[in-house]
Amino acid sequence: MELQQILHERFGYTAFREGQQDIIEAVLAGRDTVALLPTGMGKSLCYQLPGYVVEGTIVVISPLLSLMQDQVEQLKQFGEKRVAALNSFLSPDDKQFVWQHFEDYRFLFLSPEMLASQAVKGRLQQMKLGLIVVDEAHCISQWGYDFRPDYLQIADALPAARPPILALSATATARIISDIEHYLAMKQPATFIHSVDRPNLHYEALEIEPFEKAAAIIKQVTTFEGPGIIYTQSRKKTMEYASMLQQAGVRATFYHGGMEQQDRMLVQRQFMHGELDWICATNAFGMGIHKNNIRQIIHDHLPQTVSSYMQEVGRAGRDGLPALVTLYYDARDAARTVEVATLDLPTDVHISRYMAYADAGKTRAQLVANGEMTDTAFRVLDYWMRQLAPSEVSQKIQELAADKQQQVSAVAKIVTSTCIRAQLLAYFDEQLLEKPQNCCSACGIERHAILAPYTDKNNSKDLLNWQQRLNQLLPFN
Amino acid sequence: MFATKLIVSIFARYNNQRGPSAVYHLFKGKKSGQTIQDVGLFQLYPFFSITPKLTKAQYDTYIEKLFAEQFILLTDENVVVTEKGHQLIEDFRPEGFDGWHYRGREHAFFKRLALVVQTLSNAPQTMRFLPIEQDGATQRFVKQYLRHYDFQQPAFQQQFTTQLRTLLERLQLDERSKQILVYRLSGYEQSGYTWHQLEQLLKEDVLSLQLRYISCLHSLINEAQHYPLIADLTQHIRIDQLLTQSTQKTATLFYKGYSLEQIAQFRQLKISTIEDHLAEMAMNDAQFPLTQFVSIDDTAAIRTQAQTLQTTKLRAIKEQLPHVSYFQIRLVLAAKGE
Ligand SMILES: Nc1ncnc2c1ncn2[C@@H]1O[C@H](COP(=O)(O)OP(=O)(O)OP(=O)(O)O)[C@@H](O)[C@H]1O
Ligand SMILES: [Mg+2]
Ligand SMILES: [Zn+2]
Repeated sequence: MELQQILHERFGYTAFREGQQDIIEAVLAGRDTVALLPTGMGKSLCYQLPGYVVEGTIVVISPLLSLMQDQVEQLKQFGEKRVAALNSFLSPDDKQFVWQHFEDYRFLFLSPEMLASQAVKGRLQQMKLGLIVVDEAHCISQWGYDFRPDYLQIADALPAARPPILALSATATARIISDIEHYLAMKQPATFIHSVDRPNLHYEALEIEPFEKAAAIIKQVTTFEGPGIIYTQSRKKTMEYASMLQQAGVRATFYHGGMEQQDRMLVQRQFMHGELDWICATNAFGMGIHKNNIRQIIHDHLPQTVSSYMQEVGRAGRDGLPALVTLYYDARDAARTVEVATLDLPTDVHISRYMAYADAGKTRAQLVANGEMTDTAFRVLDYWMRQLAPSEVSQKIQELAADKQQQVSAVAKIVTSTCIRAQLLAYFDEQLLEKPQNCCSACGIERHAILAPYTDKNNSKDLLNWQQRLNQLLPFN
Repeated sequence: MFATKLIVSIFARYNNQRGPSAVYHLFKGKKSGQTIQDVGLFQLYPFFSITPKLTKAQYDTYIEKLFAEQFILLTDENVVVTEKGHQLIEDFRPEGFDGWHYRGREHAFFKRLALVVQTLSNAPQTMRFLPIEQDGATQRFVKQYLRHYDFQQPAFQQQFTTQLRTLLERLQLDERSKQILVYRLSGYEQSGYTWHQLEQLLKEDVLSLQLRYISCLHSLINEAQHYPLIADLTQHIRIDQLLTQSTQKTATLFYKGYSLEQIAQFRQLKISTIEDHLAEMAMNDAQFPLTQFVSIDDTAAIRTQAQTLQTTKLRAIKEQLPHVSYFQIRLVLAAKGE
């Protein structure tokens, strides 16, 4: 069948978007492929469509539970039944069900940690694979070294005779691309790089005194249209912003990783359905959020990496219409962000404790159980201790810390530069050819030209009684 | 306020004989001998394991408030309900709970209900919507259910709605508890509310709301049998196997005739743990052969002491009856038979 025809019949799209067809053809020609397309431009299709051409299961390695679930649901909406996600959060019942039907799936989503398990590896060795996809592949560089080492070991988990690998990302520098190729052991990959520029995003970076931040944010939200997301660094802050916005009459709530699963889902759906206009969130809210008409993204801090900044602002303007992305910072932000970013790195003390446990013949994982180090720190340390000599590990961790510091500096440098857009592109080794109007705050920006004014949505404070509410949900008599 | 009253009323049932964490363990459904035994002793079956996810920190902030407001106070490490506390709970009747038989499983029922309601609510408009429950087991269950009843038929949609409404009407619960349950459900372009949102709108704290919601779920499931379309969603939710898993293993061996020591050795557990199991068995099983461990006379003596001393403290009883063992006292206090 023609690709066009599948696109139309299966997915209901009339045409490929820029880049999609080339990428799909490379994959179908059996080549390892690295594809960079900007956020929201349709990377998923690059593996969804081949699912109906190649023989064998398409394995998608995905960093986040919520992202996997969204992709699974999206495929189900396209009428696909043979799709599942295997991750450590599944209930035992579900795990068993997926396990029983493992070979039958057309699309199988895995976390890198799942992929690393012997059982999964063994299973993959024995089944027919059609394509291996690493979604958000910059996570290899971003997380592999100091957060989720299993990202560095994907290649080891794959069968020797494997189908092509497709690595997808919206944000990858030359260094990240070479990490991707290296750690995935790609063979002469075809590389497709599209500009990371999103012309309809208008960048703002505003220096402000810490005590004025909240007021400025509230003012902005109540002056210009939403919907939007405010990104902040702590759970407590998400709640503070939400309550301030509510008091100002804005339909807002908070979202963070500490909330129960059901509540997180409800917030997401309320936002999707336009029942809420603003979400105050930690970076737990992001990847996998596809709301077309987000008009604003506000940061109250410097993000830890340029990639995460791109990802987060990339939620805006997916309908192609203008959107404003604003970052408020103060002089001490960089230091604070570095602190947050290096919080979970192992230290020299951890290294010696690790060795003491090993010498005493104790299970090293007990270090976590005994409260001597965090889970993340242990995972990272354990990985490096197996890779390097102990003396080198200390050195390595210093490098990691320095690297984090440097990444934060890169963000700081970009937002304080003479053109945010040009510097963002430069970071990804691109040159800005054409500046849109209202490019960025450094070039000069007219907010009113980008956004319509705020309109007061009726934020009703009263609940219906249960009979009325039930009648609204089920209006069947 | 609901949670405050519930906690105080449970301390009142403990009759000044338990410390501040007792209610926490009860709500969490702790499977230790003490907690399980207390359930029988003080008739706390309805409240066992009603909030398995409650954290100690959450609970502690709550308890501190109760102390601060002087509903309870601490005497000899035991919680005593004050006069003010007794006034608080004077008219309070916690209806609907049946924790002993659900222990967190009620959430699986709610997931099914939520997905069915969402599907029916969307049905007249669209079949393309993102399911609010992504859990595979729930999705498979609901898919089968909906297919079985041919859910796109208006007749089914009406019947389902009527059964759910009538059932809710019949429940002997506050309107508010029902309102919370219904607001946790989602429908066509109207999502459910988060706990925090409900807290703000109803001006009642999250734990209280969650407890009300649990009571509503329990009674909904318990009363569903005359409403077949709802009853079908309650399949395999109620736990009728009441012994904890480990106790079940001990029970199997015990009824095969093995001694306590043999069971302990065989299972590589301490004797005291096996004794916990036996106490749990005594509590749950009216057929438990109590006389195998305690003579009829001693049983009567222990019961009498417990009554005259108005206590369930093992040590107090033991002081009066030095010849019986602690284990014997525990068994007698746990056993149901009079
Ligand atoms: N050819 C197409 N025609 C129309 N719509 C498309 C096409 N391809 C993808 N889309 C739509 O674009 C939206 C975004 O696609 P997708 O989720 O794949 O983005 P993405 O590039 O992976 O973004 P992110 O970097 O945020 O993950 C989806 O809603 C999808 O349905
Ligand atoms: Mg994507
Ligand atoms: Zn610019």
